[in-house]
Amino acid sequence: MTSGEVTIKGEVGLHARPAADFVREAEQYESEVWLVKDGGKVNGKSILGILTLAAEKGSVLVLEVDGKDEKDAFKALKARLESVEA
Amino acid sequence: MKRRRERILRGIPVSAGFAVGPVFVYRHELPEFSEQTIESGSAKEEVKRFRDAVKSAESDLRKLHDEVKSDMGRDFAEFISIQIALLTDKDVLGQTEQFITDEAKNAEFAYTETLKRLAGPMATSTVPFFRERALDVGDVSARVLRQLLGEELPSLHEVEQGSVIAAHDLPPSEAALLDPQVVRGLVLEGGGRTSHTAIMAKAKEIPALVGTEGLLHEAVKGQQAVVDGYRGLVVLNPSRNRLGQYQSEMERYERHRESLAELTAEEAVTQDGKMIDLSANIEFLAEARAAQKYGARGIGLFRTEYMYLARRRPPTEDEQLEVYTEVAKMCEPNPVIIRTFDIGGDKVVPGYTEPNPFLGWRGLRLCFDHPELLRTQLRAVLRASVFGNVKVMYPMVSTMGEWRRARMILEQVKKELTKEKQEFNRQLDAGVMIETPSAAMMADQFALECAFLSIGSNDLTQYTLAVDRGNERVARLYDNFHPSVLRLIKGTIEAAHRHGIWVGLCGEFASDPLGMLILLGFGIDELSVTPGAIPEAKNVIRSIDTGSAGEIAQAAMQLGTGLEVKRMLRQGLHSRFPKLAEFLFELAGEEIDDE
Repeated sequence: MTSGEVTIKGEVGLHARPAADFVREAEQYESEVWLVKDGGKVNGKSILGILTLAAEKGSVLVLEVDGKDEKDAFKALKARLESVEA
Repeated sequence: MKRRRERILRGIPVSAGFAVGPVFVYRHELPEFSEQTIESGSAKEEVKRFRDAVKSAESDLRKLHDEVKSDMGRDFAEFISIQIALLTDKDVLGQTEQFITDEAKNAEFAYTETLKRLAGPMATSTVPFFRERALDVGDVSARVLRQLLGEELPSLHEVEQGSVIAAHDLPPSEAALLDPQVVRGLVLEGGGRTSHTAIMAKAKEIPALVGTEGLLHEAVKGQQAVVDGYRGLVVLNPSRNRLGQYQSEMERYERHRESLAELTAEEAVTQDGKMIDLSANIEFLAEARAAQKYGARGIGLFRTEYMYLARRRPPTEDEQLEVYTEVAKMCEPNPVIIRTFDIGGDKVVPGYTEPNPFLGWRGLRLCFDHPELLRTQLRAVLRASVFGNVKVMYPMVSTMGEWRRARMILEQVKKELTKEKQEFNRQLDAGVMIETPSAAMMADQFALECAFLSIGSNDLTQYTLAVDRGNERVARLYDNFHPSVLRLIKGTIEAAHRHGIWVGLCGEFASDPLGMLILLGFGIDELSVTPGAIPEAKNVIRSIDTGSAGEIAQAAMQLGTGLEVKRMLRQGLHSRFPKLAEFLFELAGEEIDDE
């Protein structure tokens, strides 16, 4: 498993559109993808799950990727979270 | 057939005009179903039934998406893509199917329970942006349930031409599709002045009411209704007399409108030759076009909050730049005054509540806590300033400190843009709205540093009289003509002129003929009104001389109550400007009441 912390920088946080983009990207990989915030852990391939995290600006998330293509997936998904714009 | 009696219901008018037509009752509730245990062995079939329902819901949403996108643009369609993503969520689908198989329950029950479990935390989120998504989840689940139950989706597509829609509220997906050719009037039981639906109705010039209590209890499909977007009434089953009364009123309005249409190309100049900058308040591009059509001199108030609401997220710099540039080019060489986001309080952040929103976190206060929001907007405003006569103003300023902080941010943004070699107007005019009593009292200090002042009379009145006009128990105390409000307005105008800057007023007061009379008497330089009110306002300006108006205003300022002031102004109008008075009051309809 590959995991690491990511801070959300966009003004309104990880809102619906970037969440949808994130799911679309996560689905490109075979690995399982999880997002953890304040002890809550959700499936990174579920937009509903991600939205229930209510990750505001400044939230620190743990991204966990587990599977064959975890290295590539982690890199790409981390970059996507970091680039969530305002 | 039983004859039904006439019924009159009151609501809050949000879009002016009259409409007569058959009622179409639009219901958008979660369909009812029961929890059922399915026979062993039929789980497979049940799962298939569920998958089919999701599939057809998805294809409906895709169609809707394309329709809204070609109709209204990509921004408006974005929330439908989000709904598609929510509909096809793998966790929801997988766990619902699991539930059907493991617990041997019907799809409707399994789906609803699964959603409750997965989306539950969203509805209680303390962050409005996330809580608001719960509405989309509800919208999507109703779609799926209706597919499962074989019920038809309520849809405005099936509305008969020329109908009056009665509903609790419209889901955003339907409001975006409202067609003024088909929907002549709109009456909502719920909603608010700033709800998505109210804003769409106004943009599309569909007469509309919100907050109409008892509507769905009374309204019956097919019965006739009159929507009165001036008085804030809906008349169900109007009597023959009532219909006649409305028909002649509609004709009077039509004639009045036609006689004003001739003024479009004329200047807004008083009898004694003072040129008034008569400009328009707008929110959308479409309104900017309407303002041009009605002969406005530029945009006196460009409200930008809507860009936020339409997208359900803050618009990016480029998205804002595109809109500002288009409006600036359209109005060139006339000014376009862009007001920075006045979000918060009762506006735009659905679901966010505070105990005292009007005294709370709104306007500049909120923007200072989200500096990127303001910076991004100022970057867009500055970049658009190359394409026309763009100015910026800040809402909800209560202290000089706030103005200076905003000015400092503007200067920082200018430096950034210079470094990036972006072009912009270095001399961009910046001003503040005078809408708090504190700002009005400090107007002379603001006038020393600002390029202009713009009085926001609606909020200034609320704050001065300590009256929330949305609260019906105290709304009658709300009075633009109260001497306390007028003193603040007069003082602001004088302070601006002492320091050689211009001062305007945007608010309903600017399009009230008696309000205009006293404002012209005080020496106001600019009036900004809704596009549709431009012709009437122009006629008033062209009929008045500022000398007489000044005398009337001076006399009115010796009085103690709003009622006395209004009476004095009305008398003054009748005695000094009899022709104008006759023209204005020929429109005044009778009071309409339920017997």
